[in-house]
Amino acid sequence: MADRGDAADDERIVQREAAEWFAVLHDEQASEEQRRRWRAWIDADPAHARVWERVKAISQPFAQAANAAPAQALRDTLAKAQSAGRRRALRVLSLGGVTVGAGLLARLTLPWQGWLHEYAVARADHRTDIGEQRSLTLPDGTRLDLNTATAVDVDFGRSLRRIVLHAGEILVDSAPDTQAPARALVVDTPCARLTALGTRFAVRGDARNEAFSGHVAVFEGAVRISLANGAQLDVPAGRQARFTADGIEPDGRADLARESWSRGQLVADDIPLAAFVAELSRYTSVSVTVSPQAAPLRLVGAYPIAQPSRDIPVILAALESALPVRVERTPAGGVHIRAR
Amino acid sequence: MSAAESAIQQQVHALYSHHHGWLYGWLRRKLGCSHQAADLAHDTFVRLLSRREALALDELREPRAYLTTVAKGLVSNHWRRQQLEEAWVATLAALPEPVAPAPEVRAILLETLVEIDRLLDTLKPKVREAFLLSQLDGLTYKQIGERLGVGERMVKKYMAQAMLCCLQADDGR
Repeated sequence: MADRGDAADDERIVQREAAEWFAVLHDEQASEEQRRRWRAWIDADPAHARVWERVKAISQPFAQAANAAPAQALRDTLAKAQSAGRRRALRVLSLGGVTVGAGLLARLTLPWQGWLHEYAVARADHRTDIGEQRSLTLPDGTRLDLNTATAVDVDFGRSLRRIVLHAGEILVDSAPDTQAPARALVVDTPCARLTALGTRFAVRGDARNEAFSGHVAVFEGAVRISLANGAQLDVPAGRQARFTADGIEPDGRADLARESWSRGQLVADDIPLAAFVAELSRYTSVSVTVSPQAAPLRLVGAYPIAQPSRDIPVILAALESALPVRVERTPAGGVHIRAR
Repeated sequence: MSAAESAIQQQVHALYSHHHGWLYGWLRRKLGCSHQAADLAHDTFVRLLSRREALALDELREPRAYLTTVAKGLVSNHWRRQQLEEAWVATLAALPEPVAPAPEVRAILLETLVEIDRLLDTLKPKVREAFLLSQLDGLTYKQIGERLGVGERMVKKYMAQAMLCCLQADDGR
């Protein structure tokens, strides 16, 4: 009996060592020296190698699941089953509330990214429909305006004030943190982190064909754009930039239209009609098309867009007097703008 | 075959012939379904056969108490599995239609989730969450720490605790 007890103790010691190695090796900061010592540990005793095989076997179902479905769907399922099983609802539900956030930055290459993204949009803390706009005041006093068809998560933690933009466009008017030391205010998008350097700025994301591109216009202070690949750019007040997972590109002076929507206005600052219509289309599910002859006509004006369903017909009618165009209904229920 | 294994087989054989009918009736009352009761009764005896040591004297003296202890464990696994299945179906239903996984992938993933749930059952919430954020989301310790409001060293500690728990959960099989 004594022998068996000792053997069980030995096994437990090896298990504890293996678990500690597992934790060391998963750390992104694990050193080559630590890896060398770990290999020496495995070689030192067949029992070490045997238990390490089990560590690998235990990791397997996690890797399989993560490759086949979005992590948040899996975590949601586990959390739901747990709360149903144990009825310790409050404690467990607080786990389910963790947002996707930084996971998007880390997992850009995984095959389910598109799915993950749609899931994040569907589950976002704050959403607006097409044509809807909303203003929020965050716990620190930061004002967040959501433009049409937007999805964001707000995830304020101990060291960061994080806003996760999954889709659409937001205008951030940041407040000084209520906590000391002040936490950084960041906006995470699927391909970049934007750090507010005391500021008022608009961020917009476009996801097309699984590729995400973002745009930031800075009106006060400055914003630092950081990509997962290490690229960085500080955008000062009055300037704007666009970014993808691969790079950042300055985009001239900050377009006032990127701010005006928060005041219920759509501003056309000498832009082609096609660009204005592309902007307008974000506020309505009705298809609006422009003929090639009308597309390059340049437009100047400020149009109210506080209530898209009411305002868009007015804007379309106004186009007819501002430009030599005719606005027509199509048989399919859309709108077509052609040159007169 | 070792002496211990042959002793276990004989014991289980004896238990089966004397108590299988009774256990089946007990399970049917508990589950309200004769098919599931038959499955779990069968599983109970299979579980006994996979034991490494022969039954102890007190287990043999109170065979029905022993059988119900094993069967209760299986029943609770059964309910847990159902809860997971319901949660999984609900999660999938909330996902955008065109990107939902194929039925065979869903079924395999459910098995994987059952396995993960079993491994992590006894973990404290933060330890469990840290482990899942690392293993499912692929977050770094730094990112997990920010998420959970703890330092990176604590995350590393959680990871070791979680793996140790998993290793011990496997022991109990």
